[in-house]
Amino acid sequence: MFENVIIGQYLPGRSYLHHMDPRAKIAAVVFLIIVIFLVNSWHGYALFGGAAIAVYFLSGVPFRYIRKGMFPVFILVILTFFLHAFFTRDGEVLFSIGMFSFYEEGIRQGLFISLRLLLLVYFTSLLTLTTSPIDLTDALEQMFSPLERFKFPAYDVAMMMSIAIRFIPTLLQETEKIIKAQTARGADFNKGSMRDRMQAFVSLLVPLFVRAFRRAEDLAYAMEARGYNGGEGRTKLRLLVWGWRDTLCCCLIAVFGVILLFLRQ
Amino acid sequence: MDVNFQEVSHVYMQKTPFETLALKNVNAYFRASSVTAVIGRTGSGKSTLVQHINGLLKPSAGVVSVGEHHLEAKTKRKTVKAVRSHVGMVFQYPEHQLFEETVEKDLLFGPKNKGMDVAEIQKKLPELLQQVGLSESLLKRSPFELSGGQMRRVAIAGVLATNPDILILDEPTAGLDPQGQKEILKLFMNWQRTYQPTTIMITHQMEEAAAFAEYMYVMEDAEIKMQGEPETIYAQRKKLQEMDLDIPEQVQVLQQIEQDSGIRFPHYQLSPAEAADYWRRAVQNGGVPRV
Ligand SMILES: Nc1ncnc2c1ncn2[C@@H]1O[C@H](COP(=O)(O)OP(=O)(O)O)[C@@H](O)[C@H]1O
Ligand SMILES: [Mg+2]
Repeated sequence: MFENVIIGQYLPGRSYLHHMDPRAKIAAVVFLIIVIFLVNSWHGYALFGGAAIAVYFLSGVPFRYIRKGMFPVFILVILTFFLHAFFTRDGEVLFSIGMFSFYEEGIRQGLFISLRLLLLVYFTSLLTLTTSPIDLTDALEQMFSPLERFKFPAYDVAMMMSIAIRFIPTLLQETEKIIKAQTARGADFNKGSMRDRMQAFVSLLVPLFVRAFRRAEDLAYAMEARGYNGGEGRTKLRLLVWGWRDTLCCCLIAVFGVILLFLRQ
Repeated sequence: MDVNFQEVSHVYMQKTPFETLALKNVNAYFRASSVTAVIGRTGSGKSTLVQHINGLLKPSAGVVSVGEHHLEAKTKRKTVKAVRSHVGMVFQYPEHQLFEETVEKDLLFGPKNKGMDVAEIQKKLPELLQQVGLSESLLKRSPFELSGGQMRRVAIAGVLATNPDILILDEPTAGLDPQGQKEILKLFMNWQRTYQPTTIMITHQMEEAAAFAEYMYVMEDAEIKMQGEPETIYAQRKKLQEMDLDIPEQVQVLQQIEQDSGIRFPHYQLSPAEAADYWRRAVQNGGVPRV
């Protein structure tokens, strides 16, 4: 039933990107997202495209996974392209279809925005495809920990995130099990009147919630029984290690940013 | 209704890196009104096998015939629904499927979905509750305020309420204490005797299978490795042990007595009292086996 859901879409591997420190990867992606909004020339986008291809080869992720991850965004991208193409009326008229005229500036803007969106989604998907969820939360926790001085509960937020991530597969399994059990009792989740389908849906949701609350309670007891009492002074089993790859990546990205600034029009 | 598997294979998550072959060219036959046990260790494919019988899973290859219906990879949902109305399935931890406000409503969920005469069945609910060992006073209670054991019985009653022609039990006693396990098994045995559904019970405990199966399939690594009447299976202890299974202790004792004394028991389902009685009579006859 959920056979095609690839959870958290992390793909284990041993590529350059997989070996990088998640903090470096997050920093790089955030930096790229910022600079992509500064690019406003064809040279800039060409350079960005080149970088995207290079990173693809560094990631070792099969292309079909990237395509699958980006497919839903395509619809959004095409929509934004046409919005811009229709409504921007600057520069020369390139061509007209019926009552619509397409202006040079409109097409240009549309293409730029589409490219920005695509590249943005591309880099973030590579981040989640090559970083395990646990590494991601660990990294986020460390990157946000300076904010604890301002009462931002970085540790607790990270703990909540990792628990949530840990239980996604369990919840999916549970959902599948209950759907099967209710289907065996004749419930129909796909066909039938609105009323029947509502009923089927309730027969799934109620047990799911009951079990989730029960499990949350059990987990809370189990954690307390093992001495958990919040983040204060807790040490980590898995330490994040900053290596040469990370330094190299950060340097390259900085150089990349500077070049892009020069290519601005 | 009988059930027939012909060269059935099933692959989970086909065409992904997580592809698993869970059934490999399985052939099996379940005679109408018979009781069959499917045994094998966890992950051997038992649940996958039985979920083909009511179309929860479709074969990747092969055909599953249920009565006169045939289920294949491309079978239409209409056929699947027709088959489903004949099949009752008790899952592992069936109490997780309870959701209605009252026990009564939950018991009627199946019959209502399967288009049965709800008023008629409602009248029979007190009797049904009694058959699963509960008092009829529970009908108006919420299923969530019952004890674990009571919840399980209500869930089982919810499946039996449709009086299925084919009854599938997927480790229905998991997580119960030995006394509870015995009671639940007994409940199913009584039900089977009264209504005669084709019954298929999954278990990884030989003792349970031995208690009421007339035929057994032993699964291992997506395949059926052994099949036959319990006696035939018990005769191949070595092979069973290789699959982390063993013959029931009770049978081991009887076999040991046979080996040492030369007495032959008629079958291995004898209760301790029957076995002792049989042995005494055999000794009185000078050790000559006599039925
Ligand atoms: N929904 C599923 N998705 C993917 N693989 C599954 C699923 N259900 C079972 N499997 C796999 O199929 C094999 C057989 O499982 P199952 O039929 O549940 O065995 P059993 O009931 O004998 O314990 C196992 O290897 C299991 O991991
Ligand atoms: Mg199972």
